[in-house]
Amino acid sequence: MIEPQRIAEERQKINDTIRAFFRLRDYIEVETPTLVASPDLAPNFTYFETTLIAPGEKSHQGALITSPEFSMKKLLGEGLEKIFTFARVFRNFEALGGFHNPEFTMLEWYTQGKDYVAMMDETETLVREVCAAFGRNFPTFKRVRVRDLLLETAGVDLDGADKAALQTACVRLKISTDSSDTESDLFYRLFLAKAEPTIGKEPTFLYEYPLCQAALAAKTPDGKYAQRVELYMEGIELSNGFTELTDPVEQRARFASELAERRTNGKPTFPIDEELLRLLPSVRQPTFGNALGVDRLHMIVTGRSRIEAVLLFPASELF
Amino acid sequence: MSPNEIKKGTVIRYEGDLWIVVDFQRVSPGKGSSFVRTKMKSLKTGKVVENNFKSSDSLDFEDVQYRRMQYLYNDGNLYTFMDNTNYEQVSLSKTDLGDDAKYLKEGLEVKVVLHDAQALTIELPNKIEYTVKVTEPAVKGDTASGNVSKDAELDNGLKVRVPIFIQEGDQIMVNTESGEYVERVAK
Repeated sequence: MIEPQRIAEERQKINDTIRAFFRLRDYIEVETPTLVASPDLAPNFTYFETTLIAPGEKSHQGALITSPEFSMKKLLGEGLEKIFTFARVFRNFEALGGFHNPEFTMLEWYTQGKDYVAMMDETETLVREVCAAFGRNFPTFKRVRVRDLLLETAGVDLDGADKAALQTACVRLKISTDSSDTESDLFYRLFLAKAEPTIGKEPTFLYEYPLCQAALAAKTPDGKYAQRVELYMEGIELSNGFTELTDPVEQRARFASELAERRTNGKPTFPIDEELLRLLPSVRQPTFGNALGVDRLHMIVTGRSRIEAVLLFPASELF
Repeated sequence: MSPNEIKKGTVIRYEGDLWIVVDFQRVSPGKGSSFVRTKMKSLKTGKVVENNFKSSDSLDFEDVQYRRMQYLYNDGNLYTFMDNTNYEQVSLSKTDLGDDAKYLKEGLEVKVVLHDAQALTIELPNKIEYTVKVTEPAVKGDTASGNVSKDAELDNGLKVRVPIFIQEGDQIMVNTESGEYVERVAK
């Protein structure tokens, strides 16, 4: 069999397995826009920006999505209960190959009325089914609190650790820091140097991140952590999801601080998605959402170590 | 310079010593600044360490030159390369080359990285063509049982996994970053 055909058939099997999984569980597959006026505002993203032009209209600034998250949440706010989508998403200024391709396929799914624990259960079942379709079996996925991992690997208790405590830990562990470091930077320096390398190859859910890494996640009942979950498999970050934040006031505040950070870093800004904030209160609490990299799943189930090997047209060969 | 400019082979001055970047990966947490996870080798001791730099950190890059050279031979620990324009030769040790040594084959053209006229290491082409020297013939039923690849030894001794249709004498391309089979070269 020629290689492109092999890749195409493998991808078809993955997509079919995923679609069958969600159909069986009463999800609806939806299509969401790739070109939007208000993309995600995450401070570290570089967007593919463009301009929308229509005859007789004023032109509009736009960008390609980095995830279908905002559109998906609007649909939840309009009353859809269980939805999934295969979205083509775009991130500029990432490595050209290896674990990254500037455009990639993201599977996102949401269920109203369920939280991140249910999400971990469902994600494990889904990933196992796709693996099984390729004759691969993995041990039960480990579930590790970020707090426990950092305590074990860096000797830092995130319970009550402030910026100064994180700074002290970095000094103790001989991790270089910079005066511009935020609490989030210091946490991430510790995480990258000490915690992440210990995760290993076994499937592992890391859950409950510190609030400085909350993104769009709701807080835990004690208010100390974010209900955010990442799945690592074969040492690759495969999915990232949350019990979704549905409070529009808190969400607006997070958008505002992200915009401020983008301005500080000289990155372009986009308008806040007001339609999302209008619909957010109609999303039930809890609601979980998860985003999974389909190309990376393809790498894992077929044992390939580079994303180029599972793409028919890797960007590294187009540019 | 910003860590965002780091590439393989970049030489930086860090904590008083010179280091060459052997591998790097840009990582973006769900929130906050992005980082560059860097594996770098000391040019003094050969020790490889990992360092994570925040995108906004400032690093001292050193100027390096690249020279196209041909691999000649290996004499125990030393690997010798020659510049075909002036027949100048340089030798590098196994420590200098690291994992790249196993991809070398006679006559291969590489880029030698020099700093202050001293050879530091090499840069390999992304893909190199080899001849398959030894591999088992495909066995009926391999595909059905899910065994879609097998071991192969190449003309320079390198071992890779190849698809079952590959035969001894075939020309194949190997990716020098991953060490994996890429494709068969049409004869």
